[in-house]
Amino acid sequence: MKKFLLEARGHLMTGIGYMLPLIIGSSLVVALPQIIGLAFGVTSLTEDLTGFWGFMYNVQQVGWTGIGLVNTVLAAFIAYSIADKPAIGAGFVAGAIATSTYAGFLGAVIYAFIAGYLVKWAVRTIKVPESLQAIMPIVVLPLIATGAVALIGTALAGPLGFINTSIVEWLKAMCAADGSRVTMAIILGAMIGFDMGGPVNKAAWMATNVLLTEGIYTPCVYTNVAIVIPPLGYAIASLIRKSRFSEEMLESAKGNWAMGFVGITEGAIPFTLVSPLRLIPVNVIGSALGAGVCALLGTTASISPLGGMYGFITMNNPWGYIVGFLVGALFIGIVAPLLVDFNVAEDGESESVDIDDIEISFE
Amino acid sequence: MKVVGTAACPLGLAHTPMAAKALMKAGEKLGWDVKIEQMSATGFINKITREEAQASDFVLIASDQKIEEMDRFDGKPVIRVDINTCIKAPEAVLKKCGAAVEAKKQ
Repeated sequence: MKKFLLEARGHLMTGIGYMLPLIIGSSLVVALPQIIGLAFGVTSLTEDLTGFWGFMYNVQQVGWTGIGLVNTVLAAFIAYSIADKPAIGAGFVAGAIATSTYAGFLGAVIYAFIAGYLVKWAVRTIKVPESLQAIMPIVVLPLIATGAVALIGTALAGPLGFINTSIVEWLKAMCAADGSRVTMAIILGAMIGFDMGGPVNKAAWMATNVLLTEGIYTPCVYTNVAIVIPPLGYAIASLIRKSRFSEEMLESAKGNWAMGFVGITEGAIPFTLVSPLRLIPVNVIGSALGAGVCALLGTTASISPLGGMYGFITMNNPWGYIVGFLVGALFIGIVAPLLVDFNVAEDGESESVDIDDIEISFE
Repeated sequence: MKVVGTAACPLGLAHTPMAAKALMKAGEKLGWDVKIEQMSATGFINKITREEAQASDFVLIASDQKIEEMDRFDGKPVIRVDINTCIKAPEAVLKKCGAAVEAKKQ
């Protein structure tokens, strides 16, 4: 069971990995005309505009079309990840009907897993004579997969649509109220800071990214702001307390400015590994603090937010975002070198991992 | 031991090169021949060829992601390990996998 869950997580991550370039590209195509408009005093782009602004409106609509494809692409690549080419068509269908029946990301993910595993199972179990081998990948498997999606998608459209709509409404209400928004930001921030790209971090990241498919953009603001904090924090630490860092560490801290700028939490790993027991709490508090401040200052998003330091251009009240990551990173930058001396030579092998605890699995 | 493998994380930006480099460095320490490719956002870096794969003792996949062109590794023992573990304890990972492959042969 554990193995299955790990595998399933891998498939979900693969799907998200394919979905992200789509959502980033589309969001920017929505955001840029908006920003250009604001720069020239056009506050909203609408259908009845003509000339250049009419053109900009149409460009923005293309971006929205891309965002509308998010469930479709997510489902398609989950199915592809599980069972390769024969499942991918059914995956596209799964995502599209999930969107059209309001079953949303929940439906997209469930149908895609069903389609994928059904094909995988069929490949293993259904044996046909060699002369008919060719019909398996081009007729039988796609029919099984798409057929299953059609049946299940139709049967579950009602209940899943209801569950999905309720979850979405609940989360939207949570994003709208000040108090719950700050709580949510603190929890998400703490999760992001906890293991820098590990399972807890990725759980928060995955949840907020999946919500983008439902047009819930605000939680992603708080994971984005928290992601910037640990790498930026150690970059700041190396700047203000140079004497506490070895040559090698100072060198890798340079890369952390870039990691912080584009938003890669993993940049903090080499530093945290020097003394995980003392530094993980520092990272958690820094990230939670920064995300909390960002939420407290009322930063939200009405379009899919970008990550990294420059993500603020896609947000409402961008200052809150900038103040948020600065506060969090300054906390890490000041506290981490107080607690830990980064001069200790890295031996490359962390003591905390026992060879017997390493899990390996043959395919 | 001759080892080939792939490192991959969802975006192919951060964990991927870290794990690949950590494993190759650990391989040097052990005196093994270790080559780990990176499945990055824009394709393979340092790609393992079919010939290299077939000449290896085992294949190490440092990922829970889908790996492209798995058919290169057909017939070889393929071991999956969590990518974070590979970054934290690359030497221990290699040793453990090596031992497991040896044990399987007998």
